Amino acid sequence: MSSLLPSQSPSTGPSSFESPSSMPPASRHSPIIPALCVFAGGALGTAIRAGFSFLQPASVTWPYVTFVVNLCGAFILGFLLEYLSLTGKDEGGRKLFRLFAGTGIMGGFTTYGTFILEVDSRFQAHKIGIAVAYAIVSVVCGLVLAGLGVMTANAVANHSANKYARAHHLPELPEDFGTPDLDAPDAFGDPGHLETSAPAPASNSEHKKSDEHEKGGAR
Amino acid sequence: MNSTIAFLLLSLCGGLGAVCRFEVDSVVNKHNRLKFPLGTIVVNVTACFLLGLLTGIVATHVSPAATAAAVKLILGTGFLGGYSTFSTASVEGFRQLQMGHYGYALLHTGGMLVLSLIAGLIGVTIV
Repeated sequence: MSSLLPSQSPSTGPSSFESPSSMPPASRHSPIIPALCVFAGGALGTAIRAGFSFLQPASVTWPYVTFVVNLCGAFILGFLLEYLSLTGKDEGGRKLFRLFAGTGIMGGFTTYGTFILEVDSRFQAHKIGIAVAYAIVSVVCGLVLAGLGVMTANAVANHSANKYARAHHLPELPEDFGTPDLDAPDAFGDPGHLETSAPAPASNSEHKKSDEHEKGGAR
Repeated sequence: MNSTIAFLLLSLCGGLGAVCRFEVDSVVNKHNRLKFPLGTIVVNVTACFLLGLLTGIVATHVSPAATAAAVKLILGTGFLGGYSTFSTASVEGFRQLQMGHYGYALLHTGGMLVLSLIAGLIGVTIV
């Protein structure tokens, strides 16, 4: 993996960790790790959707497989993004997990293209009623399911927080109620360990600095 | 084509499509001056145009039928399926509603739907 970062040769690596600001941002945090998370998740999500898509006959009136897949995806993504945002900061392993499971799996699992072409083909076959109903019902239910996912995440996070507070005899919601979950997504990869074989002690400050330089629109 | 290989290619293409979506979304939203997210709209509208184009090309220019089906599966279900997304579109639309931006929610959800339908139709018919 160190070959992905040509500017960090073993001899210069440790010293540059001591003075991160002297290094160009690109070499301090390679964009390849987030992209790999999206790739892996996208491949997995696409495979699952493709598996389900074989259940749907080509001549079906209402494309129920696409419909159910998209609505499930909307609910799960709403839940996932809200839960992650409620339980900790969007950085490090948590961010990579969001990119893998949200942008990758759920993005790949759901599809807008197939949905639209299904509507278009019904228009072209002059099944206007079905086309309009399928299009409108899909997007409206998508919004509703995404909202239900967000609300469910709120309820679950509140429940966990209150349970945590009771267990620790705290009078109110602790500010860091998500802390017990913070370490879990690290199993998906600490960027520092994946990218280089550099010594671990510098990795904490390294991550904080490098995250500031990551793509602003990365989701 | 061996169906296992086709499935594998389909999945890998889906992964590539997801990465393309991630990159396009990042670039568009970095330059976006509007008050609502534009990246997913650009991604989905282009996906629908390309899927329409692919459907049209495969139906008229690719034979035998087995090859046409495999191409449609790998590039359509795989790459363009992984590239486009319904879930992010729904969550972004809900966020606009949640913030009380009903006009933006309608513009985002309805605009994406209408533009995508038109883009898909253009793709299918120009081949």
